[in-house]
Amino acid sequence: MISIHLSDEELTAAATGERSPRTAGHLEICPQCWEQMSIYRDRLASLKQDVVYSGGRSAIDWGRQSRSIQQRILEAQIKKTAGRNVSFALATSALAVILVIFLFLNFRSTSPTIVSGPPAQTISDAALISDIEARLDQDLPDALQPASLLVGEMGGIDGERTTHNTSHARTRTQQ
Amino acid sequence: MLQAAAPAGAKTEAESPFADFDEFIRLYQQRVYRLVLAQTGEPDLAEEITQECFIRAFQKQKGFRGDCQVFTWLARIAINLVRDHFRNRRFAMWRKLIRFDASEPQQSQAEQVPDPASTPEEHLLRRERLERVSRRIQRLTTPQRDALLLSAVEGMSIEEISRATNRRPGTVKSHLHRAMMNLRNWREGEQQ
Repeated sequence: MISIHLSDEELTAAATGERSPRTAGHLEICPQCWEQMSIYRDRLASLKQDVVYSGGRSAIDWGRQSRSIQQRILEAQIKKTAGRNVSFALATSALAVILVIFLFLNFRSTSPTIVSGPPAQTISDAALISDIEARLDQDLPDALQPASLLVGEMGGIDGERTTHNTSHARTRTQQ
Repeated sequence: MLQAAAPAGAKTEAESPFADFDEFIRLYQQRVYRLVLAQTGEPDLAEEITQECFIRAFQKQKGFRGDCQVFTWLARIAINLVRDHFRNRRFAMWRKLIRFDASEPQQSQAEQVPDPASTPEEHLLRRERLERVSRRIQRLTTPQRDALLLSAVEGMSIEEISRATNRRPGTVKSHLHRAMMNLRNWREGEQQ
């Protein structure tokens, strides 16, 4: 007795070579399913024939295509290598630029800054002389005593200049 | 000769299917071309995509772990390339519509160079057969087309198709069945 016929799905699967034990067993005993499966198989074979025929080319043409592929692979390799070199050069350049910018900024931040002091005060001549005199009046070390005397004599007040000169000459004479 | 690195799964370079890449190309170019041609229906485009497929294979050979047939892996690359191409072409068509640029079809026709070794009759016959295949194939959805071509033309099992198309075996089986139904309906219509 023949079991239930195979479904279309089972038949198409069988036509492509995918046969479960049930399918295989049924096909052996059921001529109807076998015939249906054969139709599917023939259609597939026909499709294959058409595809193979339409895709057929001469040996020369296959050779040309093969060389063309090899050529393109070589070109792709060259391009890849060149691209890698360019990338390396770009990366190096970018690194160099970053380094230069960093050094420049670092140099600017550590360069000695000229701190401008308070503006110089202008002192009048009279004030300057009185300041010198005040300093001369201060106690000086022994080594500088003769010099202070000399400066005191030379820097005396105008009114007393003559007196100083006279006394100075007198001192020299006495010496 | 193109030197290729051994894939991750291969034990030695001699065992690698890519050890002699020139030979690898010669071995698989016809099958890849045939598959792409059936999907696109355009010989020049099929040639272009076939070349691109081998370039990708060369570049990505380390990604081949040897857990499937080499052709299954190649078919996957080819299918993805075809898919990408048509996706880009759709965008290109929109771009062309926007720009009113009609130069592309003329260029495409100019690039069609017949095989110098085949006779004009052979060329014509091949064209006719290709058109017939294309008419049938274009009625299918992309997953159905992939499943049908890999099964009928390349004789791949459901498991292999599943790997090549990155779909589950159950889904592949379903697509294949629908493709066959579609094919049957079309052929019955043709005979009337």
